[in-house]
This record gives sequence, structure tokens and C-alpha cells, in this order.
Amino acid sequence: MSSVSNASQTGSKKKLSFIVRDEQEPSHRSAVSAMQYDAQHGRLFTGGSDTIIRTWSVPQHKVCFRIFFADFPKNGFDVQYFFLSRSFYLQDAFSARGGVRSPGKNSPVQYQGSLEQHTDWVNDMILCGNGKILISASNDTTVKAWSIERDNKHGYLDCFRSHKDYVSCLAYAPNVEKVVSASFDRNIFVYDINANFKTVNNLLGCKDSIYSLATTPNLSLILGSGTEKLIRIFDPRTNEKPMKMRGHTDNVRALVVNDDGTRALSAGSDATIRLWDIGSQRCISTCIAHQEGVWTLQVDSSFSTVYSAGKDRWVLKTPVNELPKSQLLFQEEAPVKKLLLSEKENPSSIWVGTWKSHIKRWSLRSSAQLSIGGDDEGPTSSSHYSTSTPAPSSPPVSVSLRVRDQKPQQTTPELVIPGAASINKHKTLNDKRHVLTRDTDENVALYDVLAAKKVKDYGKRSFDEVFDENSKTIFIPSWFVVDSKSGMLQITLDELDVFSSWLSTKDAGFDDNDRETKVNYGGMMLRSLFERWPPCKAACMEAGEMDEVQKATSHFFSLPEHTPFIVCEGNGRPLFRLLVGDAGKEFEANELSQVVPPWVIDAIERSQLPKFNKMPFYLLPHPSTNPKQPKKDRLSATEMLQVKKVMEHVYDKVLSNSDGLVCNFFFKFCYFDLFSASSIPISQIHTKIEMYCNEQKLEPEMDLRTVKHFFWKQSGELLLYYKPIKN
Amino acid sequence: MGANGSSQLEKEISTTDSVNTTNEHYYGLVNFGNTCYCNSVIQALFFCRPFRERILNYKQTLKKSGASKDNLVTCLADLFHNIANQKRRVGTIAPKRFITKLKKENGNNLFTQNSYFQLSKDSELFDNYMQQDAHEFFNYLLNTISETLITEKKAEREKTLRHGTIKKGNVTVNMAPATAGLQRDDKTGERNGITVEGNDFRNSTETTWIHEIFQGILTNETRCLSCETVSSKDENFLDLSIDVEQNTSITHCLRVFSETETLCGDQKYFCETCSSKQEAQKRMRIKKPPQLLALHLKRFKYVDSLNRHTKLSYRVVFPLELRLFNVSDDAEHGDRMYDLVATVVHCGATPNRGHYITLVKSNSFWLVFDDDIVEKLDVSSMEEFSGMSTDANIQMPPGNQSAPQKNSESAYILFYQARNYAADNPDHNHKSKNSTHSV
Repeated sequence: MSSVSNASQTGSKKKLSFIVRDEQEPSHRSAVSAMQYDAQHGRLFTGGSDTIIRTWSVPQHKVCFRIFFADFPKNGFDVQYFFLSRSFYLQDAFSARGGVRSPGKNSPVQYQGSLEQHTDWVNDMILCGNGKILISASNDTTVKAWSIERDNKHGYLDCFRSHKDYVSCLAYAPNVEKVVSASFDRNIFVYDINANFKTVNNLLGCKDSIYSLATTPNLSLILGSGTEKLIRIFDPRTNEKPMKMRGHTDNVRALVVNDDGTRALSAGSDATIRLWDIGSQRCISTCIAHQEGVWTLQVDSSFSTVYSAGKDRWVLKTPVNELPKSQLLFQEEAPVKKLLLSEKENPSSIWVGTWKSHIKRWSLRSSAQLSIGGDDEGPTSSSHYSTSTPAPSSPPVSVSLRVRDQKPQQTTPELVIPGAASINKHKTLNDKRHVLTRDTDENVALYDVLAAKKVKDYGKRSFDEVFDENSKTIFIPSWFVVDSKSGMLQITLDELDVFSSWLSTKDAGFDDNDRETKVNYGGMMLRSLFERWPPCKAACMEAGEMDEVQKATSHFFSLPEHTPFIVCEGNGRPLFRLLVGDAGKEFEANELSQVVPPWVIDAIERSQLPKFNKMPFYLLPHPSTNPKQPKKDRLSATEMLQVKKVMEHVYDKVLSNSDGLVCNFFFKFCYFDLFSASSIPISQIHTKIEMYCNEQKLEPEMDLRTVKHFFWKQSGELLLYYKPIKN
Repeated sequence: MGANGSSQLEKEISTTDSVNTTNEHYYGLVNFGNTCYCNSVIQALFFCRPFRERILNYKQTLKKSGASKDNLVTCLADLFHNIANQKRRVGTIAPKRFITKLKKENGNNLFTQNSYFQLSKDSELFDNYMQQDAHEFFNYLLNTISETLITEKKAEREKTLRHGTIKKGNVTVNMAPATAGLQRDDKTGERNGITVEGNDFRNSTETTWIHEIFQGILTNETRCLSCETVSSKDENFLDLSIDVEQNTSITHCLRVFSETETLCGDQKYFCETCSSKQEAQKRMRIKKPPQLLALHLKRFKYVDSLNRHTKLSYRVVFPLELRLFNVSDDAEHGDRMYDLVATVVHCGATPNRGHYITLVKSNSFWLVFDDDIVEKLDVSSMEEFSGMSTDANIQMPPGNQSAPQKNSESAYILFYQARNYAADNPDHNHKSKNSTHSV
């Protein structure tokens, strides 16, 4: 009920945004924070900051080994190390043919497809319903359900909008087929997978944002925690007041519970892992091996070994009944967001998602079994190992040894799914049309916002240098907001300033001679986005003769059809996501009609755009002309009025009326063209008059807002000084 | 009456042995009609030894150089000099020149009641209106003094440039104290990578002895809850304004001041590392405790329902000795012990009416300065100035006059001096070891 009233309240503040990207995005572009693995079908699901959930086919271990021996000479096999940009990747032996970044046809891991509906970070995923349904949780405040098909034609099933803030975590009770979600909005919801995802429970009680969640297979208990630091234990059958377990001194970011609901493990920003006895609500023991926040935990099916990782990049293996005895398995190259055991029972390997876009699988078997070098094997040396030769087994780790003094048991992952670079810096050029970006590989590129595509690659160059090269002395008001939270460029338009960028077709580069016709970037952008939407098309057809407003948007570009385009509420919650190319389809067109904000309708359907902004300014004789009585004339004109027009005004009206007749100047500027029949051509006017602002001489081609921005540089009304040139 | 009080006090202090060893003067200040806010702050500052010494030193330097200047600082210096050089140990003095100057510099708005609360809402400018609020006056005075000093320093520098080497010797003598202070401050700044972003001195990074005495550094730490990256920003302060709560202590109020605040919901923080809005935790801690810590208790609070400011007479116990616990891990002198040296007390139930008095510690005993009246005060009665433990006058505004007037006498500005501060050797405290404390 509240959502309805909320929607109508925020209706006027709705925003539009779109993402500039390739049609196919087969690699992750940013951090990977959610993973699920279907061992039965050898399928991996990954999601993260770039909003896209990807599915991969992964050869199962047993199969993998069979190929191994079939494909390789009997005397052993090569393990090669590759130097890829700044880091090393050991790819599976049979794909070891070249340093290609995206998985080639020979790679054991094949990209299968993408699930694209989320509009912000994907934080967690659950594979349920016998591997046929995937549930995902995102910062876009939604929980989404997807159908997973054998033929990889995965479908989008449903979207749950009950949460009002970022959905941070999910948990799964397989015995009863229920999924639990928790959010920064402090709510916990339970969904019944078998009853068409009906929300069967809403657990309240958490007093702060929830960052971690766990449940038992039969949903007998639900554990939730977060910035409140204490862990709450809910009994979903009674909905009684939850029990509390206190001990953590900071945000709790990971929780696991054993199958019978007697023991739980938690980890958090205080760098500890704690074992709890749920019956007595007490902390039994604490692991302090990590140096920084612990963000992810995995436990094997017998609840005997815990795998942990977080900000310090270490992946540790610790016996649950002896928490102080941690072993350093390996060190990642970036803080670890997600660990996932390939199998819960007697795990042979572990998947790791980090801040970087690469996904890695590390072996958990002692290195001898996979023959990937001993501990003393330096990463730079490439060497031969034979399966027949028993490799040195990893030395038994001394219990007393602190983790920081331990040697990692592995130095190279057994598998890498390479990721792509993400944009981590961006700046809008002065022309308010192009955005310069730099990505995590240090490559600099230029994007055209109006066309929603990349227009130039500069390679590895200095960002600031390229920016300066592309800068012009022109001031155009901002009309969009850029962000790169997904590692790709996202442009957001809102009602407040979307139409503020008026400029002449000459300045916009569409027509070198036309200074009179104005274009509006925001209006053009909306035309582009809604080009295929029937109401917009109709409006375009109707108009025979183009009026001024239509001219203002007539230069719009056709956007790539795959461009995702989102209508969201003022606070960023998405209402509808579609592709630009699908706006003409019946379903999408109808949905779009439901959510499209009125300011868009005004612009594209009724061709209504706001008027040019007027700017007041003062005109004074230059002090060097020694005026007897300096007269200050207050005038008003459009921001885009060029300095030479002001010169013309001075020449014709002010200087000729030496007696200082001040008439209605506002009137004059409105009908400026009527007066342009002056005795001197406007192109020559600068030979008669000079204009100054803040003691700097102004170019006749500049417009008033550019003068204000680059020369006046202060608030308050602009003062312009004129000085006649004496022959 | 005032004279009787003075002679009584004279008798009392002459019986105290320790006083005879120092030549301290206790002079009441005549009230020129609603100037108690001014008198109370001047008395407190007079008994802040480092401040008094600097002011008297300024007077001397001025005398030596032979320059005749007339500004608020010289008026204050003259007043301090007058008090310090009286023959009698006790008495009253009329700060006429200072008040006249203050009025002149601030237009004639000195006595406009309510001007502070009405105008401060609309204009942030300090310019033309003088406040009835002792804390506002304290801020104004510190700012005026430091601005004057900076202007003089600049003029001095220009003079040096103009005269070149000819008058070099003379000028360096005059500049010595100020420059020495400046250099030392610059060095500390560099060492800690401090970006000077003073609230009160946005336009200038110059420091004066005002900053040496009163300036501390607050550090504003924000930690993104997603990537756990901490970003911190330093901020200079001359005094700390802290919120007050009923039946608490200064230590509690300082803890609340440094409490962690979570930025969540619509207030999420844009994290540079995450390139997106995330929840974050923010807290303010003291990175550099000042030599003289001025604590302003926010007792005057705007209440929407009443549409005006009311006074919170809450009982907030202030200790005579204070150790800060809200210092950052990398703070210098984090373990500093502070002694209470002076307290400006507001008497009365509303912000607009009322009276200011000052409690001062001199040597081993406490004194009350109530305009021209000076009396000895028993340490045990200090607690009477903590405020009221019941909310009587808050719950029954505004006609309720039943609350005993005495109980609404509540400490308003507290002046704590660092124990290891040695007046004659300002470098002394730099020898103390760094130590860390967490909140």
C-alpha cells in the first residue's frame, strides 16, 4: 500500500538512465561477489558489480582428468605459466596454447550466456529447484528469479520488490525449497519456491542494516546480522522474539550454520571468525588469524573445516574445532568478496571472486596430486613436472606458526576465467557531449554520450593530458550525470537539468554556418532513447513542417539497439529496464507507457522544451575611455548571445545615442534581429568595438555564459565593458 | 557593596600562604549595561595563563616598537596590563576603553537584545552585529585577535621587503616571537601531512599564537562498509561545541561527540573505491589536542515547537581534571591531562535573559567573578554549577518561574589547560611521548 503512494510521490522525480556497453559482454567487468556452482551439470553462475549474471560451463574434475591423460603424452604433461598483463595465470593444461584473455574455444570454461535485468551490483545468488531456478539479490533493491534451462536459453521469471534498500544476502533451505533474502532495510523475507515464489514470511527485529544471513536446510532457524554487530536467531515457525548472540565488535559480514542448527560460524569487519553454540547463545572460540575484515566463509558438509577470506586477500583453511589453527592456502591479488567450494563433501577445489574481474579456481588438494609445483616453486620459473614423479608434498604446517609467517600452500590457481577491464575514472568534457574514461588496464578512451558509444581509444596515455587536448573554451550547462559503478558508463538524466543544454548547431558541430538554430542535447537524447517507441514515432510522423523545437532535436542519433535503458525512481530504484531496440515491441511499449515520466512525454510527444535561459548583465563604458558619468545599463539576453551581438548593440544603440537615451533594452534583445541592419556587417563589428570582462578582452564568437564561466568566474551579475576603437 | 566585598576578599586571600608567593591580581569588571557576557569571557581569558602572557607580551612589544595603535587587541592588552599592574591585589576596574572600542567596531548593535538568535539564522556574516552570547563573543574575540596579528605580520613582512637589509636587525627583533611560533607550527603540519582547512580562517593558512594556544585538530574518519576503506579529513578547531544530555558528564558528552554515525538509507556515502553509493560509518576524533581546550556546551537549543531558542539547564558534571578518550590512534599528546582553569557560567532560564559569571582557578583556590564583585569559592560548591537534574523548566515553558534561580546557573564554556604546558617554555610539551588511546 505504501509502495503505491511512494510511487506517485516520486513520480515527478523519476529519472532515466542508460548504459554504454558492447552488445555481448562475455567477461566480468568489475568485482565478482556472487557465485553458484551446479556440479551435476558442470555449470558455474557468477555475478557482481557489473550487474550481469553470467553462466559458464565447467568441466567436472573427473572428466577433466580423463581428457588429461587422453590428450597428453604418456611421459607427463606440461604446465605452463603465462605472463598476462601484470599477473600470472595458470590455465588448465589443455587450454595452454596462448595468452588469450577471453576463453577461447579450447578453454575448459566456456561462456554460455548472460542474465541481464539487474541495474546495480549483484550481491548474492542461490541456485534452487534442482538447479532449475536461480535467485539473485542486488543493490537495485530487487530480488529476481530466473529459470535455468539445459539448452542455456535461460529466462527471466520474476522480480520481487518488497525490499526498500540494497538486498545484501540470500540463504537457502533446500529441504523445504525456500529462499530467504535480507536487506539494508532491516527486513528478512522468506519465499516459497514451490508456491510460485510467494512471500511466506517477513521477519522483523533487526535494528540495523543486514549484511549476512544463514539458515538450516529445513528452515528451522534463520540467522541474520550486520552493522548491529549482534547475531539474531529467528525461529520462522513461531515468529517469536529472536535470540541474540553478542561478541563481534564490528559489522558481521558472513554467517553459516550447521544442518541441525546447533552451531554457527560468523565473520566480520573486526577480522575475527567466531564459533557459536546456538543452544547456549555463546561464543565458543575465536579465530584471529586474519588481519583485516573477513567477508566470506565456506564450510564443508561435515561442518569440520571452514574456508575464509576477505580484505587481507588471504584464503585460510581452519578446522572448526580448532579455530586458532589456521593454514594459509593461498593469497589472492585483490580483496576477496566470495568463496565457493566446488563440492561441499570432501572439496577438491574452491572458486574465488575478488575486486578484480577474474574468477579463479584453486585446488584444495595437496599440491602433489595436481603436480603444480611445490611450495618452494617460484612463480616466474616454468618447469616440467611429471605425474610419475612424486612431487614434494606440502610440508605439514606447524600449528604454532602465525599465518603471516606461513608459506602459501598454492601459488597458482588451477583455472582462471579472465575478466575484462572496468572504467574507474571518468570526466565529462567541456562540450558536455563527450566523456573521457580510464579503465583498470590504464587505457584511456573517449565516449560520445549522444550516440551511446565509444568513439576513440587513446591507449595507455595520461588521462589529464588527453583531457586537456580535448578541452575547448566553451561553457555549456550540464545535462546528465555519469557514473561507473558497474565498470561501464552509465548516463542518468533527470528532470531538473536534462533540458538545460541549449547551443547553436554550429557549436554542436552539426552545421558550420548556422548560428541561429539552437539544439538541445537533452531533447536529442530523449528522441534517441525513445526513437522506436510508438508514441514517439507517431509524434515525429505527424509533424510536417518542423518547428523550432523539433529542429532542436532533429539531429538526434540512432542508438545501438542493445543499449540498456532504465526508468527509475528519484532514489535510483529501478521501475523498468528494457533495451532501446525493444521499445517498439508490444509488451515493452506498454510497460514503458506505465512508467515514463511526464517530462519525457512533454518533450518527445508534445515537442515541448523549456525556453532558453535568460541572463542579466550590465553594460558599462571601459574605464580607459574616461566616461564623464559612467552609466550602468542593465540588460537581459539569452545565455547563448554572442559577444559580437553585444558589440553590435553598443555600436548601434549606445554609442549613437550619445545623449544616453536608455530605452527598453529587454525589448531590443528579444527582437534583436530586427535591429541587425546596422551600418556595419556583424562580421566586422570587432574592428569597431572591443569588449572586456575582468580586464580581459573577449572574443566576438564567445557567448555570454562562456564569458561568465571563464572570465567573470563569480556569482553576481556579469559586468561587460565596451571600448570603441578609434581609427 | 563592591568595595566591601573586595576588602573581605583581600582579608581572605592574605590568610592564604601560597598567594603571597605570587603576585596575582583579582579585579572585578564594571558592567556597562548588559556587558556581563563580555566581562565573563575577559576574566576567563585573563586566568588562562598562556593567553594572558601573550597579550601582555604583545603590549610590551608594542611599547618597545613605539608604534601607537588603537584596535581591540591593544585595548584588551591595555586592560590586562592595567589589572596586572595595580598596586592593590583586589578591586574593581572599568573596561571602558575596551567596551567603547567593541561597540565602535561593531556598530551600535551591542545592546540589541535577541539579535544573535535572529540574525545568525539569516546571515552567517559575523560583521556588524554583536552578540549577547558569551560563546559568540569568545569566538569573535579570538578571530579578531588572530586577524589583527596576521595583518600586522603581513605589514611587517612588507616593511622588511621594502627596507631591505638596512633595518634588518631591528625588524627581526620585533618579529621574533611571532615567527618562531609560525615556523614550529608549519613543521608539525608537514610532519603529519595536515591539510590546513580551518573553519575560522578559510582565507589564510597563517597561524598566530592564538592558534598555538587554542587550536587543535579534529579528524573526520569515514569508512565504507562495503570495501572497508577508511578516508579521513582533518579540520582545525579553536573550540569544541558539544551537545549536552541530562544527568551526564563532560566525558560522556565528548564520547557522544565522537560516536560513530552510520550513513545509510538515502544518506549513503559515495565511495571512491566502490565508484558507488554505499553505507559508511563516520566519526570525529581529536587528532591534536590543543594546549588550551575550550569546550562550549550547546545549552541554547532551537526548539521548533516553541519557535525560539530555549536553554537546556541539564546537569552535566564537569571534572576538575580531564583526560580525553576520543583521540585518534595517531594523535600527538593523546594522553594529555587537562586541568580546569576557568568556567563561564550562564545564569537564568532562557538564552535571552540572564547573566554570565566566571569561575576561575588561581593557584590553589577558586574565585567567582560576577562583574565587579569577586568572591572566594569553596571547591565543594563547584558542583552547583553543573546544571539542574530535573527538566522542570524545559517541560513547563515559558511562564514557569518556580525553578530556583540558583540551580539554573550552569557551566557554559569550560577552559581546560594541558597540564604539561609550561608557560615560559612552549617547547616543553613537545618532549612528552606520543601515546595512543582509542575511544
